[in-house]
Parts: sequence; structure tokens; C-alpha cells
Amino acid sequence: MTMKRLCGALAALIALSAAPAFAQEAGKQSKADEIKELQALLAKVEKAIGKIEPLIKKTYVFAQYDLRQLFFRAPDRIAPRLTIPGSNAGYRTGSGGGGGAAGGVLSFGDSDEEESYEGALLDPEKMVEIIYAETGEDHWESPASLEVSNGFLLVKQTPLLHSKVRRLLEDLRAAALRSIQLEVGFYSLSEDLKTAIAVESKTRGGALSQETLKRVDAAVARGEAKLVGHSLLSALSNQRIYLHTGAERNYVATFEEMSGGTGPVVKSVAMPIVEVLRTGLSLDIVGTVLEGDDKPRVALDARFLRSDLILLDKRKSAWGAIDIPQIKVDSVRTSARVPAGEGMLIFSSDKDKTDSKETGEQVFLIVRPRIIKTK
Amino acid sequence: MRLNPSFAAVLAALSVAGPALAQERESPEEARHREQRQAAREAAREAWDLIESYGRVDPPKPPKPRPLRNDEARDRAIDRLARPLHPEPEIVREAERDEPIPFDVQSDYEGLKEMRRAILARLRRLDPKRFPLRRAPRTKAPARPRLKIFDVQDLTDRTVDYPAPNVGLGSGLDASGADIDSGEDDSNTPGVGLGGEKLLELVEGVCDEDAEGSIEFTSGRLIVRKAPEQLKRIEALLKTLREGRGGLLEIELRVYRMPSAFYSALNKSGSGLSDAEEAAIAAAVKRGEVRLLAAPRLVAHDGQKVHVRRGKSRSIISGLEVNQTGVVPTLNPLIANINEGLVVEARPILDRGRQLVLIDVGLSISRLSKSMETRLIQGSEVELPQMLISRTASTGKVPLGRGAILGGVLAAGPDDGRSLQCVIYARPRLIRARRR
Repeated sequence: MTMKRLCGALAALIALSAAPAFAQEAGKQSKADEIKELQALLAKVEKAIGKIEPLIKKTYVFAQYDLRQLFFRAPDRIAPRLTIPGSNAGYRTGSGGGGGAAGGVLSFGDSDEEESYEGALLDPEKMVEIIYAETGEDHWESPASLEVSNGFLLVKQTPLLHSKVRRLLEDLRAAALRSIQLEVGFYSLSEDLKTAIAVESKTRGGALSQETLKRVDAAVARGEAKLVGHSLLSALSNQRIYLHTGAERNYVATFEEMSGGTGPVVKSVAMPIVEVLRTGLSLDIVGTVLEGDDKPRVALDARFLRSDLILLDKRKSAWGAIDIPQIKVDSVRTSARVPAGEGMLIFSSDKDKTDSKETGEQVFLIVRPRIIKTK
Repeated sequence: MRLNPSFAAVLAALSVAGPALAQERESPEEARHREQRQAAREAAREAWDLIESYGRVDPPKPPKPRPLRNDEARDRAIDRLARPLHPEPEIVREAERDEPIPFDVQSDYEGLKEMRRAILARLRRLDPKRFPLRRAPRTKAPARPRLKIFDVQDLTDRTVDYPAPNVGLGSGLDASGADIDSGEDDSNTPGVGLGGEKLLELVEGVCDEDAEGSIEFTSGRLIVRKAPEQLKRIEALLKTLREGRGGLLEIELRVYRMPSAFYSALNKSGSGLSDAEEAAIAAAVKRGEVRLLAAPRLVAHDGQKVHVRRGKSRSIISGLEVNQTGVVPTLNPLIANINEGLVVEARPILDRGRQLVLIDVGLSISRLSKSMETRLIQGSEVELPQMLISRTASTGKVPLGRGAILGGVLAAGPDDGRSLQCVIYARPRLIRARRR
């Protein structure tokens, strides 16, 4: 209350509490006038109190908000390994001859080192902190309450604060509603298309324009190019997903001898170690939507592996035959940032000329990400 | 650990543009609150203006004093002489004239209540018969508590996940195979159950602290002994909780063998297939261009993992294991079960506000080769199977009541009947149980 108003109030109080002697001396007419004036004043004061009271006396309402899709931890799915089970001999390319696990300028990361991707936007504790920060912690004293239980936000608050919480959740949901659809195509292309794609991929960091993709589709439609394989993957932004198609077979990888006994009775047995050999092709990929000032882009982190069984040879051992697989492997691990609606060349293989004869099919692996915005 | 970059971007946008955004995106409650505050401010200002004008009215002149003795007159002359020559004019700064009068809600409320007490007291003194003392309203005697039992099993029961069986060939020892989701821990909460303790806490929160009676939870039931008004609050709370939870989701799943060219011709809006696209698929199935491989229907609780499987299962001697419990080691045959066929696992999570279902689905389709090598090892015939397999997993958002193609391997070549190429189609629907 300002000083001016305080003085006015004090003056009124003094006037009201002053002895009625003066009023009586002034006569009945002035008494009636004063009563009339006081009634008018009382009406104004009571009207003001009636308007202020709803602001003072708060009503608390309970509501629950379903946040499971915000907290949903999209499971990261890793494609099965399509290599021969077991440890690799030798040392990592680029690490030098001194042995050791890592080192050197060129270090091709072990495919077993997996990054952990956060599929969910945030966790419950973070959500509560954000709400407190946005609405003010003072508003959350008893009887107000806020907690997260089993993916639901349970809130007891005034309608005004509920509206602020709802608006905050809308903003968070808008970011969480994006998902990605990935079309993965395995192509066998003509020479001119191969050249065009190779040049464009080099100059644009792996990305292929819509025009190039249309050329590829048109070539497939005309029969000048071949679509060897075509698959579709749907995922949330920042979730790893995969596909694997091929064959699995058990084989006897080795034997493990165990012996036991006492005194003159000692026996050895050999347990066969059966492994699974997986061949075919596998692709696992993480797509993350990047909203920038210009066209939105999708950051793709892809791992592709193709393996074919060349030969499953047999070798004798003291306990039985051991299978020796020989496979041909093509694998690539790469990343790129692709504008939405465009594509990315993940892998291309030419005819294998490292052997004395040419082998293998030429395959181009192109991924087309599409951002799905759900309303 | 890579974090989702959108989270930081949203927070940054909120903090920088907060006030401007608040003005532009005012919710109805905020608009109502703003108008209420404005109306209260205006009413308070009018009341205070009237109070101040009442306070500025010159009081009636006091009666003429009786004649003073000379000493008193001299004292009064000295006082008058000591008074300031010119009363200081009230200087009102230009800025003060334009400054809005601050509105302190609590302070003005207390001040106006004080004024009301004083006005009523004055009216009572002026005319006690017309303005008697206002008595406080009689408080009613509290109503007697009544007993009511609420069945809340639908709110407190937690559903159980039913993950799909293993598919494929694993290591030789147990042939457990690889899970559809490659063994990653799935930390998502199953179902929407509250739990008895949490529900009890919420119910106690809506009742008055000093209200007579008791509330207990046992075996899926709330046993409440409270006054009728408290019971109404509890009923309202249970209704609110039920509206946001419960209900079953029916997921119509279809597994198609679909040519690439057909899929490319679909419009693919991304948010569910349109009626025209659904009709195109149905027509393609009819003329044989698209083949429907399986059409299972799953019913699941909101948030529950369920699966469907169609295929075969067989046992094989997958290896030998050593038993060293005795004096000498012995070799025993190891038996493993191999599953083949179609396995689909799904977890739907419903967003009632947006009528969307987030479906996390995994599919595997596999077939054992007819020829299986059998090898005699240490006197036992160990079987070494071969299997063709396709696996994929997808997570997508599908509008309730609409269908969407979530993922899979499209057919790039002619249908030779042996290929394992297939795509998953899903259409979720909400089934609401009617309560008596």
C-alpha cells in the first residue's frame, strides 16, 4: 500500500471512529446523509473484497497427465554380428606392430564398442525439476503437490498452474512426436549412375539429392538398374533399429578336453563347442532429427555388414571333425547428415579384384530418411 | 553418451522467449486469471478512492471555545507564530502521476477488510437497530460418516509382460537363440497400474485432514468410512484416474509380402494409411499382387508387451555337456528347442490426448532347412541345423483406428514362395470396458 493511500485510509479510520457527537450536533439530516454515504462506501468495499477473494483463496484440483511417451526409452536394437565367432588374430590396422588394443592414427573402432543412445527425451526427475523451474517453486507448497508415478504426472494445483504445466508439456511433446521412416534400398546400377552417385556422395558428404534419387528410381522402372533388396524401418528420433536377413547354421568350432578321476582311474572327455555362424546382411542405424533454421536434417549413424559363406571346411582332431568356416565380408560404419527427403549412400562395392578372379555382385546401399511429424 | 539435442533446444527457447510467448499463447485459464486480477484491481482502486475521499471531508467545526485567560491567549499566539510561513505545496512529480498504483493483493485485501469492520462499527453506532451486530453463520454439525467400498482393481493391478520366445540358433550349449530385440533391457513400465499404496495416498490427499473416518486399501478394494462430501471427492478422483487409464488395445496385425514397386506407389503420408491406400492394398491382395501371409489380432493392456507366434518347434541334440559331479567326468547330450515360423512381439502405449498409439514391434520369420547335418561325436549324434531367418524391429506412432506399415523387408524379386520377405502392418483400436 502506498504512503498516500495509507494516509487516506488512516484519515477515513479516524473519521469513522471519531465520536458521533459532531454528527449528532449536525442534526438528523446529516446523520441520514452519513448513513447513506457509509452504505455506498460499504457496497464499494464489499464489491472489491468479493473480486479479490478468488485471488486469495485458491482451489486445488487434481489432474493426471500421461507422459509415458515422453519417458519412453526406445529400446536400442543392435543387429547380430555376421562374422565368425571368436577373437581376431593379429593387431588392429593402423595401430603399429607393438600390439596392444588401441593406438595409432588410424584406429578402426571395435564393432563391439557400442555407444549408448538415449531414446527418451528426459527422465521423471528432470521433468519435475523443469516444472518447478518454469512455474516457480513457491507455488508447490502444501496442499499443492507434484510427482511422477509409473509414467503419469500427478498434479494437485490451481487451475492457473495446471494451464502452465499443460503448456510446458505441449512444448516437450512437440519435440518428442517426431519419428523417422527409413527406406533402405540395395541397388545394382549402370555405370553412368554409379559414377554420378560416387561423385555426388563425395562432394556432399555422403548425401544424395532428390534428383539423383529420382534418376535411380527411373532407371529401376526402365529396367536399366536393379533393386536387389528393399526394406523399411520406422523408429523414434535417436533410436537404434536394425534388420537382419540371411542364414544361421550351427557348426563344431572346437573341442574342450576335461579330465578327472582319482588314483588309477582318470578319464578325459572332450566337449564339442558348437557356435552359430550367421551370414547374410545386417543393417543397424540410428537416425536423429536435427531441426535447424533451414530445412530439417537427419543425422544417420549406420553400420552395414554383409557376409557370404565361401566354404565350410573340415579338419580332423583327436576327438572328431572341426568345422572351419570361410566367409566373405563387406562391412562399413559411417555417418552423415542428410536433408529430409534426400538420401545417403551407405555402402558401395565394386567387383572384388583382390583375388585373381573377379567375384561378387556390385551393390549400392542407399538409405532415404523421412521425418514423420505426428499432429 | 549421446543425448537428445531437442531437449536443450526446447528449454533454451522457453527461457529466452518466455514472456513474449506467454503473451501470445495465453491459455483460457491464464486469460481468465488476468481478467480476474484486472477486475479486482479496478474494484480495489474504486473502493480506495472512495475511502480516501471520505477521509478528506472536513470534520464538523468544533464548538467555539470559551474565552481564554490572557496567559492562554499568549501561549497560543506563540504557537501560531512558530508555525511555518508557507505550507509546502504538494509536489507531484510527473513520473508519479503516470506510475500505476501497485496492486498488492494480500495487503489490499487485509486493508479493505479492516475498512469494512470500521464502516460496520460506525453504522452500528449511528443506528444500532437498523445495523445490528452481524453474527457469524452457524456451522452445521458435521455429517455422520458412511461406509462405502470401492472396487479399484482396474486401477491398482499391474499387468505382466509376455515377451516372445527366442527364435533362431544360439550357442551350442543352450541354443537359446537371439531375442528379437537382441537382449537389450527394456526398462519401459508395463501397463498403467497405480499400486495400492499410491492410490491410498492420492485418496487421502483429496480428503480433509481433520475429517472423521478412515480409509483402507486391501485386496483391490478401498474401504472408506467418511462423510458424504468426502465420498463425493473420492468418487471424482477415481473417475479422473480411470479416464486417463484403463481400457484394452486391440491391435490388428498383418504380415504382407509386398512388392517394392507397390509400396513405392503408395502416397505414404507417414501418419497412418488413408482410406484410399487401405483400399489399394485390399485390391492388390485380391488380385494377388500383394500376399497376406498372416493376420493375427492381439489384445493388450495399455503399455503391456504381448506376442503372437505361428510356426513349429522341435528339439535337437545340439551338443554335449560335461558332468563332473562324479569321480570321473562324463558326457551327456544337450537338448535344445528350436522355434521356427512367424513371431511378432508388440508393446502399444496409448496417448489419449492425441489419439495416437506408439507401437514398438519386433518381427522374425524363420525356416529350418530340410537337410540337417548329423555328426557322431563321442558316441552321440549331434545335430547341426541350418535356418533361413529375417528379423527386424520398428517403433512407430499410429493414429488410433488407422493402419500403418511399420517396417519389414519388401519383395524386390518375384515371389518364389520361399522368400522370407515381409512387412508389418498394424492398426490399433481402443476397447473400453463398460462399468456398471
